[in-house]
Amino acid sequence: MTTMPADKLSTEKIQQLLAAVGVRSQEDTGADADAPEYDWRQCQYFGLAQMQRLSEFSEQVATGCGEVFTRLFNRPFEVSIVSTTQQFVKELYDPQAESTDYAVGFGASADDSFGFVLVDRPTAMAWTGQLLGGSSEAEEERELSTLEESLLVDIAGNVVAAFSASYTPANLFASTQTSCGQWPVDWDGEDEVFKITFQVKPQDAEEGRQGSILVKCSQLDAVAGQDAAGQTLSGDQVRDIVLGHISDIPVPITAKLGTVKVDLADVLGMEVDDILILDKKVNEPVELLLGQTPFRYGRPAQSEGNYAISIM
Amino acid sequence: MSDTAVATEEMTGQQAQSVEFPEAADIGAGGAGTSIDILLDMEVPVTVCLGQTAIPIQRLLQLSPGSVLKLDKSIDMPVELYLKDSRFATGKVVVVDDNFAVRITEILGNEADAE
Repeated sequence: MTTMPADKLSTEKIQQLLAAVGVRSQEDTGADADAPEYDWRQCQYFGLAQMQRLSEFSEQVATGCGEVFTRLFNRPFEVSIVSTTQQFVKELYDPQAESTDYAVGFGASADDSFGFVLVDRPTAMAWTGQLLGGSSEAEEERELSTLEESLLVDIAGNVVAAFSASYTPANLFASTQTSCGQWPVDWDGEDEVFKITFQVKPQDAEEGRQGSILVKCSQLDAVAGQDAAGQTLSGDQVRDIVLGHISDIPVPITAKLGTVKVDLADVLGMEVDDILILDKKVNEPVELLLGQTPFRYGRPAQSEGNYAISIM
Repeated sequence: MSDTAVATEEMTGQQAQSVEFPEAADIGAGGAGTSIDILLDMEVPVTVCLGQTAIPIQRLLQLSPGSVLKLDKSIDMPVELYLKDSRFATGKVVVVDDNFAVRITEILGNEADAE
């Protein structure tokens, strides 16, 4: 994990800079006040259609997690999705901040994580406390005991299994360790992360507790599928699509009977009824020009009273 | 080759000097100028066009031997003669000794180019 990049510009700072170079910000004009702002600093790894598919995927994971919690705690639980977002790591992680969140990594192998399950300490204590049979939800400020940590790893492992059930292309394995205050992955501030925030709630309770799953966006390519725009069209497909767009555009075609080189003196002295003999026999084809370029040959003919060319 | 040139320059001891062209003032504007006679022997290409048409790209791609492309000109109308891109005359297509030929029907003024 690298440190926070120093080039993080605030919106105010950007507007100051724009004002300094004489560009007025949108607030000044007011004309397009209703236009949604495109934040170019926002993570745009997935398109709308992909985010939609990832949202559906997250719902499947939530259903799986509901079964996991119901089984683990032996009472009916509901797991619902609070939000699904794509963000840059630097927006989510502040290395300066003291964090007491617990994270359990997962990946295609147990010791090489590309994502993790994250819960805050009160949630971790509440879940492990319930597994240990304690009914109290007292939120003491203390670290988890070794036993509680291993129970948390167990819970997270089951969540990962639920995630893995819907995930392609690999089976996922959770780490056997939990880390407190640190992320068990090696990410840069500019890396794009997909974050699923979910709420875990006993069916008879009013309030639930939240946890989240963070995965590197690139690992979700297979789940997200292609964007509607389709970035990976083959050359032939692109050609067909473009042809489809331009097929109605008319192009000018000229039928050239022939050319002859004439002395300028003869041209200057040309009169009506003069005859100019071309360098073309009557049985030779004439040229069809697209712009200046000959592209087809044909025989002069007539069609419905007009000159026409019968293509050869 | 340039190596040889450099060596020669060194061996002969000659030095290259910069050139300055004199400023030319055009004082011949009022004169008779060059007679066009000098151009009379020059050959210019005259192109005869039967007609034009515009077809959609899709149709263009489907053209194949046997297709008939109808032009925008009635067979009663004269064909056009071009000097370069400039239309300068119209004529009627005839045949002379098995060659296509054009009988001039009209010499066009410059305004005909406006089309």
